[in-house]
Amino acid sequence: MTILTRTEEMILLVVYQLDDNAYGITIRNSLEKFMGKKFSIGAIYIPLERLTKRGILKAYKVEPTGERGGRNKRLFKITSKGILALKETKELHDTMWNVISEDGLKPI
Amino acid sequence: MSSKELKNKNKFTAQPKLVEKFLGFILSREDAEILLGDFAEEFFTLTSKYGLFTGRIFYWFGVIKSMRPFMVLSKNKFTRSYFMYDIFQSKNDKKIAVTGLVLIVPAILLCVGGLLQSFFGITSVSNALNYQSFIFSPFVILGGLFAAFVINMLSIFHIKYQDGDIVSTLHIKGKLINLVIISAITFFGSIIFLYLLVENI
Repeated sequence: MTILTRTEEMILLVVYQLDDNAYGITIRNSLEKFMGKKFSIGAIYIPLERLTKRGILKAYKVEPTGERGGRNKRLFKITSKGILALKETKELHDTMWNVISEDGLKPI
Repeated sequence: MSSKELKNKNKFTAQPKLVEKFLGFILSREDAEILLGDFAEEFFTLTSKYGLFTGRIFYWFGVIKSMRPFMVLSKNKFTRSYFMYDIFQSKNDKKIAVTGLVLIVPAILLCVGGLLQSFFGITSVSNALNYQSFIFSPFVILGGLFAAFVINMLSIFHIKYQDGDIVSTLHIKGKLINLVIISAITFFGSIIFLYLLVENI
């Protein structure tokens, strides 16, 4: 079972939603939109690198575009291992919340 | 598009060169290329939205915030060979040698003046030099020698991080001018060291 951190989970969901347009800037912008939190460009690449190394994401290069000063772009795609990891994390999440919700959230 | 319009557009798309140098220094060529593309896009968005001046401030803010992650990325992966090779080796050997020469001028003047006076009794050179001047301060002389030595050594050594080890290889072909500067630094540095030794014993 692959357990993802909250940031990893968010990144994977964003990458999945962005489909063929998931790269550093778009991932960062979507995360900011959903989470209401500012991320630096560099901060996004650390979990992206980690997830790629673990085989959860696949990275590939595409042709440069004008607004990038003619530089290459690295796109990310979720692998089947990534999809499985997302499902397992959601299941775990739901299971744990279901236990909690039976008693309700009360201050100790 | 007129040249003025083109120039104006370039202002908004051309990100600061310092960022390129910095990323080139700490990351592999491929990683630096990708991140520079992202930064170029960010620069374009910010300058289009806030104007050149404010956009640049926000952009630099983002770059500074990214420093720590970049350090982590560079530690995880990779290699300084891109910087060493591209900046110091392939194109700028002569520039580095000339910079080194300029940096060691105070040391050369000091040594030549001192040697002519000590061995040949010629005082005209040392009299012409104002040793109270800032350029003859120990900081400038020793700092200049050190900086010139380091940049010229980097131009002949190719250093990279590979499989957990730092590997360096010597490239001396076509580097005669850098080797001459290194020899000159060693010579004048030794004279200054001996002088300091004799004076303080």
